[in-house]
Amino acid sequence: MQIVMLGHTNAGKTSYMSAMYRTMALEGIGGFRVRAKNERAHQQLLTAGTGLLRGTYPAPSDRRHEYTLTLRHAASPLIDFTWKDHRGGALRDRSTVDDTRELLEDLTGADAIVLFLDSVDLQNSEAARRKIRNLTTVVFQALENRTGTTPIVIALTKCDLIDESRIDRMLEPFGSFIQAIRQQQYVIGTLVPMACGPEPRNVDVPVLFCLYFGVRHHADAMVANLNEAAASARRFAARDTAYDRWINGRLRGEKTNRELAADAYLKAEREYRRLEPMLRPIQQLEHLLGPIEIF
Amino acid sequence: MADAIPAIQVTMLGGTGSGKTTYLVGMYAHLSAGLGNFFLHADNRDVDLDLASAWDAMIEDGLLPQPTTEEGGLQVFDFTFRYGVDPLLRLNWVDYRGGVIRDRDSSKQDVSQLVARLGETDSVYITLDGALLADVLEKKPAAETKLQSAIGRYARTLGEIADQRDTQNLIPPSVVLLITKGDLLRSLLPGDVAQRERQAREWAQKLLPQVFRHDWDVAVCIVSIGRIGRLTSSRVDPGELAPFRIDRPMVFSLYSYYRRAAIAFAAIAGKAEQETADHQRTRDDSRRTLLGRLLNGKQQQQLDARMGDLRRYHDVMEGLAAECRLRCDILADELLDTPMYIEGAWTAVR
Repeated sequence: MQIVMLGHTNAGKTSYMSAMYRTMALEGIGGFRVRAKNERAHQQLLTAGTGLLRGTYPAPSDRRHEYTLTLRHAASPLIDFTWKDHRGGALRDRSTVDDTRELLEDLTGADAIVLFLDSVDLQNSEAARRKIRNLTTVVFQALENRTGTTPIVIALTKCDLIDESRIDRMLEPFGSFIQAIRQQQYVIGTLVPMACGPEPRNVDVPVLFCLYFGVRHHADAMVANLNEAAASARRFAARDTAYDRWINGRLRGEKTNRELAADAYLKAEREYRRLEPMLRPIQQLEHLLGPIEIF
Repeated sequence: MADAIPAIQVTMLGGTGSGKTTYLVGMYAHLSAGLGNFFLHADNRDVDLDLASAWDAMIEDGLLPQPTTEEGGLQVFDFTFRYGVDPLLRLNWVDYRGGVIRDRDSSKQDVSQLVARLGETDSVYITLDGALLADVLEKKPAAETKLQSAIGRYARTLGEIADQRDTQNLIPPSVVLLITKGDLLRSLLPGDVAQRERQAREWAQKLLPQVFRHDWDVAVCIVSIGRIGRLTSSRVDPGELAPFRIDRPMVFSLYSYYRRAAIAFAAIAGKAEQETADHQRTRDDSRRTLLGRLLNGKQQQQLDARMGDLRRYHDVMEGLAAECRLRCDILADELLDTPMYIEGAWTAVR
């Protein structure tokens, strides 16, 4: 699963990555944990995340970063995912600039998108509210012609520094975008007010919201495979006759319908064994994310 | 699929300094941020950046965009018009350099391009400089002559388009009379908004009678980017920028496109229905006698198959017509305050 972060410079993308990682790697939520596949990345993110707790913020990204991570539930790995962080300025550069081109390509292939908005900027600056357009334009283009569900998170950063009663007004320029997403069958959005500093808040929500759809997608594919295998097994079993066993099986040496049915049942059972460990975590994720409002 | 999305052409004309480029920049900033559920996005990211930067320069520093010049030639923009996330239409927009219509020298590349383009365009924007109209209202010397000269050129061009379309049996384009710098007119045209609109309608009909024909869809759109008055330099006071109805021309172009598409699809569906009825009669006639039933079995089978095809085709066309009518209704909500001349009469869409 590919998750892409999108936001202007200083929107808090890099801080979020560190804060989320520290929380999800060390503490976890409801038995869910995230772990980087690369040990060096693990150490870097933990160090940066711990620094945040002391009020030391990481420098903004000056280039694209890609982290390969695993979501685990208890001891079991659930899903691998790639988290992509881009230089904020890439959004305002021309498409001939390498990292802008990469950002646009990443967005087109993204399974989930997290939009970062600096709530302090939004509260204080008309220009910041206007810049929302730059974000939504590229997201619209990335969402065109999709047929699978794409989660979109609007992560409102630095909420510990603003008057939260004004959030609705701050988000007015986002109204049309939210309305458009609401009407789109294949896109599901949510808005998450967050803080990534010494007192982190809601940092687990964007990542778990995105991953829920990834895990769910995998589970749905397994259910489809399981149903298909079970239907095949039933079809073959219905064609199991003495003629088939004796003539096709014994005389011709072909696989009989009975054997084919047994193979299909085995395949269905294998799929169920892969699916079964995902069912409880999915329910738990649904429980964790249940109170979240979606659009 | 991207290929299945219909494409339309919009051609924008107007004299030098009439405000075409400023209008385009403002309109794009407005519609790309979303109007209700409608969005307009440049297909090319760099075009999006350029238009957005031009708007930012206006809003932040009061810098007006540079007009299209002969050296720059025509400017072509490919846009996608969306309802929510879904693309509805691809839009090929051409902004002609100021004054191109004045040149009758067809050896100039963009003049010949313009003539060819007008032959196939779906919507034409005739930009009338609001400052010139204000001059006329203020009875400034030579203003009336300048206006008549400018309008005469448009009238001649539109006449040529009409003839060309008639010859090729094509639907005429929709026409937007885009009156820019509307803030200058607001104080000069007496009465309330409704009275000013009525006056603008009468004015438009008097100035460009060639456009007001039964088969042409026309809208008169008075727009402004703010209370900036007469331009004396390339800078304006950013605090006075407040776009007024700059989305209406585009919404009207799309409304007219869907309105006519709905009519065309309904006509095709009607024709298919008529053809089915004709085949049914032929079939019934051929089965009236026992001999006919015995001898014309193959013909009857062919007619049954043809009628089946026609019914399916009819249903598809009816479905498309209904879809277009639905989109028309949605767009109409945004045009309640826009004077439109449709099927030979001024109309309120609701």
